[in-house]
Amino acid sequence: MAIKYEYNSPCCGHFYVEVRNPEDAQVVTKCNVCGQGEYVLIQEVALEETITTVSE
Amino acid sequence: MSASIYSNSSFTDSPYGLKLQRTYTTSASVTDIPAGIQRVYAIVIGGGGAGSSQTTGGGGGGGAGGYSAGWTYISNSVTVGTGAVGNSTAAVAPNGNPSIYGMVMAGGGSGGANGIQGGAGGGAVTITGSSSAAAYTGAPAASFGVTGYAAGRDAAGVSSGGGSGNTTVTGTVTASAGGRGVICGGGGAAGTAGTGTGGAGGTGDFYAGGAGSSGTGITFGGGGGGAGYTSNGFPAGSPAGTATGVLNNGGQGGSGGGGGGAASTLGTAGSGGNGIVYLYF
Repeated sequence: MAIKYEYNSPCCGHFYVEVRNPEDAQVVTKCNVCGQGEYVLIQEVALEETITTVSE
Repeated sequence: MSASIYSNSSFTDSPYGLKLQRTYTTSASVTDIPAGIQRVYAIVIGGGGAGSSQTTGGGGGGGAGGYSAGWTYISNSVTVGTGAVGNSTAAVAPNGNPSIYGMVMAGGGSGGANGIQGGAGGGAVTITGSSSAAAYTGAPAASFGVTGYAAGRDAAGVSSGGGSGNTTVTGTVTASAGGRGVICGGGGAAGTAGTGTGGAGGTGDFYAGGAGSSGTGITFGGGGGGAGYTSNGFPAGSPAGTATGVLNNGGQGGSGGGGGGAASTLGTAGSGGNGIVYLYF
């Protein structure tokens, strides 16, 4: 099940979201707005519905 | 009044002035775009193709997932293409899966052939074989060995092709590396009674490809996984991202569309890396 991870940066307060499987590593760790601080996890939410991957 | 697309930052391909707000490494519903946001800039990368395996000699590396970017309307779902799973069957390897958000789409990389040929990099649609498909930008398809936005096998590109393996089973044998690119194809494999060296995964602009293995005998010669958009490719012997100690296995492609490395002598080929989708607004 996909998890929605919500982050805030302590440097400029940027709110940033990653949706990934729990076993996957965080993709962006440093604030992508000012490049200063590390994102801090403020909430994670299990998404009820996951869209099936399309295969051609 | 006119404006130059070369000196005016409003015309860059990057989302100037926007912030990266959402990253998806798996398919999901999208229900949290703030009210008032009707257009977003999406970077979409397809899953990498798997390398192939061969009964004797070495297979071909998988192609990199496609890369597309552009403005799109808001969609209530995102599809992130998974990388193809490598196997130990002497057959054409599976393709990576496409990624889609709104009207921005990127195909998966092609799997390695049932033979030595590597797969092509993905275009706007997933292709099969060693020639690529047209890209989302409209850049043309590229034949094998030809550099392109989505490249053919053994060639560089934004999404590069997988390296070819080698059929020779005696003496010193070296397989081809995956092509260089932003997202890269996996290396080909070598399977020989002599000294065999698998091709490295393609070297990326951001990350490195995995190393091919080298040694004497048919238990060596796997190809490394290609660099992905967000991580290094894995070295030969790590077909699913974990070291097996079996060095005629391929290496998994890096996350963000890297192509899998090929296997030799019925080893397990590397899987492609999963795709990824970024939203800027």
